[in-house]
Amino acid sequence: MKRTTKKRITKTFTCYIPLAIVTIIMLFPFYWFLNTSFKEQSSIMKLPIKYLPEPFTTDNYASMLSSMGFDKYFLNSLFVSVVTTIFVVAIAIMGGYAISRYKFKGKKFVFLLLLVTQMLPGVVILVPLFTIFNNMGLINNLWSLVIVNTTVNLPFCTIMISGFFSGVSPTLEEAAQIDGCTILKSVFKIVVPTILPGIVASGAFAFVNTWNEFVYSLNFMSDSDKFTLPVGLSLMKGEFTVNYGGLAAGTVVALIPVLLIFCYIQKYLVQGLASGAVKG
Amino acid sequence: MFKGKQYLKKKAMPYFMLLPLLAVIAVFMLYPIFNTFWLSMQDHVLTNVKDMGFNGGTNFTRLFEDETFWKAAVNSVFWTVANVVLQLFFGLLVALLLNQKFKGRGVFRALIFTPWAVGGMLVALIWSFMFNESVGVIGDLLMKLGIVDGKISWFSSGSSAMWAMIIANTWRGVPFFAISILSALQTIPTEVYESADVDGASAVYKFFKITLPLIKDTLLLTTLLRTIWTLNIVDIIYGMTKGGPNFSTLTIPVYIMMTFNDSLDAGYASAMAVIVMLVLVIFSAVYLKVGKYGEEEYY
Amino acid sequence: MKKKKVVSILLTSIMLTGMLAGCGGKSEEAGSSGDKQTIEFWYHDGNANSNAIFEELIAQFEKENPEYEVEYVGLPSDSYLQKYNTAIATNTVPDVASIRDQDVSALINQGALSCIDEDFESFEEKEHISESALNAIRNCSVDGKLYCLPQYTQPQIFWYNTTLMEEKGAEIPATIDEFMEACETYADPDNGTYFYSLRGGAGSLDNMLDFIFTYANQDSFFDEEGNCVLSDPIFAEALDTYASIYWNGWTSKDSVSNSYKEMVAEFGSGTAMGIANNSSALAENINNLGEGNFTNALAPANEEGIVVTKDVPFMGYTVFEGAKNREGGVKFLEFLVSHDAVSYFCEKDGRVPVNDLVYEDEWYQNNAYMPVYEEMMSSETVKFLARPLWLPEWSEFLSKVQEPGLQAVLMKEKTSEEVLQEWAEYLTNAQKEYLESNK
Repeated sequence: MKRTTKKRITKTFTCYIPLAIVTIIMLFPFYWFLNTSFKEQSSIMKLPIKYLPEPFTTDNYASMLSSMGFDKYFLNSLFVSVVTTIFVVAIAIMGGYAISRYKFKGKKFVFLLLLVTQMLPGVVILVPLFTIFNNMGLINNLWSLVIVNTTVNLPFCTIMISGFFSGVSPTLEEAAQIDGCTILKSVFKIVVPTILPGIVASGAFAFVNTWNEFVYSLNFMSDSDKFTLPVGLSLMKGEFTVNYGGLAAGTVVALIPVLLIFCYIQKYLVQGLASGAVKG
Repeated sequence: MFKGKQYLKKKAMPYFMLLPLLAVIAVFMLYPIFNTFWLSMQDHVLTNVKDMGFNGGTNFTRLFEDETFWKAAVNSVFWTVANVVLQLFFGLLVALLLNQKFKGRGVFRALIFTPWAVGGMLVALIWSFMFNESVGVIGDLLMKLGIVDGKISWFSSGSSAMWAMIIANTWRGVPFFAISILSALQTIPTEVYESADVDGASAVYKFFKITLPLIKDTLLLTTLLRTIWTLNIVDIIYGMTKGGPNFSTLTIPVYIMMTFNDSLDAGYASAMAVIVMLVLVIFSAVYLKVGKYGEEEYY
Repeated sequence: MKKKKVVSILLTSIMLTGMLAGCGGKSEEAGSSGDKQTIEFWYHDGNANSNAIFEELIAQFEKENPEYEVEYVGLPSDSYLQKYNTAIATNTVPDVASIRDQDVSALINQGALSCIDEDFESFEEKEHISESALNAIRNCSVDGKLYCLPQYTQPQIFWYNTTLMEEKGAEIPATIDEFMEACETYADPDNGTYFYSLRGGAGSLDNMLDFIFTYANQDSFFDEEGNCVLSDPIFAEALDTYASIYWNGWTSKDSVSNSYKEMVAEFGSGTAMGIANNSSALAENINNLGEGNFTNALAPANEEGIVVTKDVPFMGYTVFEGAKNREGGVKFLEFLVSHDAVSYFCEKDGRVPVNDLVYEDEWYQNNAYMPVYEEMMSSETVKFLARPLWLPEWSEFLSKVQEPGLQAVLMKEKTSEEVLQEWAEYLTNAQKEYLESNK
């Protein structure tokens, strides 16, 4: 009896209180987006600052959905992000496996090459990348965004996934291969499930990075129907008008799919999946 | 015959598996990288077509005399270190918190991860709105809570403006570390802890002797990549202070962007990008060496 | 068995790369759809309001010219220039695009804009387009030719919160002395309210320029030899006066970093009673304060009663050199600067028209804000200061020299003399180089 109370008290201090603090800090800006998104244009700048949207209005959502072509941007973003994520994960699993499991010439070079691709600021490589896609006839085509986002996200995901492969003992798949499994089969059937948390996390990174990507989306697409969400949202800040209400509403809506995805994938971030298969 | 195949498997397999990855990078990344190196040795001001051409190392020598560049270099180091350290610390904390079992864990996890899904331009706009001296909610809230007496002018000096941006960026970056670490924590089998529990190990001991060593590689990599990315962040700084006041929050990538977009000097901008890249390559190599990354790898 | 493995992996890799490289081959070529000719048109500030305006205008144009189809792209105002520059570097420019006065020289120097003098000759309404705006455009190019045509101007003006001023008993200052006095009287740092909101961040030039040139009572950047006059001691005095608003705490501390959005927030929230900005802030002011609670007025004058303000900043449209459909582009350009389009645009977006046919329109005559601009254009006591927009280094000067320089003065890291000396040197060099290369 006493033991459980003590345990409960410790849990309160090590878990619930810090959790509450973290949640409040992390979520406060979202509360502020929500609050702003339901305010009238004229009351957003009014002092004193109001912590609840009075008068309450859904105009910002309505105007965003009706006038700004938000639905198109949303679908474009969804398409680009989902396809990119699939490509990235598939390619990164193979590459990550190779880097982690094999000893081969040029391995250090490959690793370094992957890092180097992350080091150049986007503004410098924009024009050459544009030239490549223009020569391929892919400008103004959402596939160019899929490719460029795949390229940009691959190095990180490959490195991450290779790290997770390294954390798993190779005995399992070796046994499977002795039993006559092909390498590919042994990788996807046996090793991948054990490092699923890592793969899911890497995939989530690729998805979110793509979902937020702005510079390539703006420059590669010259057709309002092909803009993605970040470009669409940036239209809310005009040269002489800042539509905070619309921006807040747009941000909230743009977060919904990501929130859903996080809700779904966090199931895979559960202890014990990899049980027994890890190097000691 | 059999030996030959075995040989092929051992030697060629990794290359086959790497083929898609390397193909993508070769097709889409090599030319931009090469182009940057090439431009860094050119006079290439877009508005001055007639003087374009090879200029040897002029861009690089100019860089050493450019006080603004060195100011930006110092700011870049501060910006990057402060961000990465804070994000790593809080990311680890959040990951450990969320790794415990409690009711509604799934919802909490999803919610706490969401800041990371807000784009850089929006982070800049919304946080500068919240930090605003006159209409910002943060100052108002701190005043209501009695923490400060008057309005806070975050953007009136370089150091406070820098911290305002670091706070905004940390808010967005913590989930990145939290997810990475959390996923690494999942690969630690429960048995390891169970046996430690039997030995009566303390929580602190378990953390430093079991958890940390097992997630070390993930920590090393995510920290390295986050360092590279954080250094290269432009949208948040450009959107919140544009490097001001008086260049006190200017970082090199922002300076590169200004040089590229306002001076239209692609040559000089590329030279700066090349220097940053070389420094990062050296840093990465040393960092991985010192951190003993992947030393216990299986082959 | 083993072979199979290798083959399967090879196939997968090839498939993947194949999918990556070969996908989406059917990119839609911009060009004629059916028997209609396409005109590609980019607008630099594609917010909800302007998008709706262009939808209407383009429908009207297509009705009048059924052989054309306009493809409109509204761009984010913060990044449009990057997109223009990328398009120029990769030869993928649209036919027609909007540009601001400060972009013209950089685009001309990249060889991107098409000269439209000859086309303009045959425009029906060419007599009605403001001569001063056309001159300002000619001013941006070495050869004095027209590379774009104006649709509206954005005169620099003061905005005052009349409701708040009435409450506090403040009056609109007519002179710089009165202005400084008002700044002092109505500054209340404890409550965070002020008379004026100074702009020290991005885009700080315009407000400062008008102030110091009015104070110094001069209206030219350069003397006859091409030396920049800013190193004249009178400007140091002027800049000290301007900066003293900040030094004395007569404006928010943050204003050293304030860009447009923070400045209009201070004005819109009632933190400041007045701001200096251009005519285009109207829509934002209506949003924040509501019509009837604010007004526009000429800037405070100097001791001689003179107001110096920057030459009327214009927003125009250009036809790109690399246009695929130049003929259609010119046709659309003519439409954009015509009475109908200018009138509709300016009415809906609160801009100041440059086509004098609009002056007869009912909305224009009933508009509460236009008389000030008319007064400004016709007044004997308003002098215009030509900014050296012809210098290709102008945008570099703003972002790397002027903005940080002013902030250094406000934060007392440098003195006004030092900073003005730097600016003068930079501009003198640029000007001499410009004169040299265009001999």
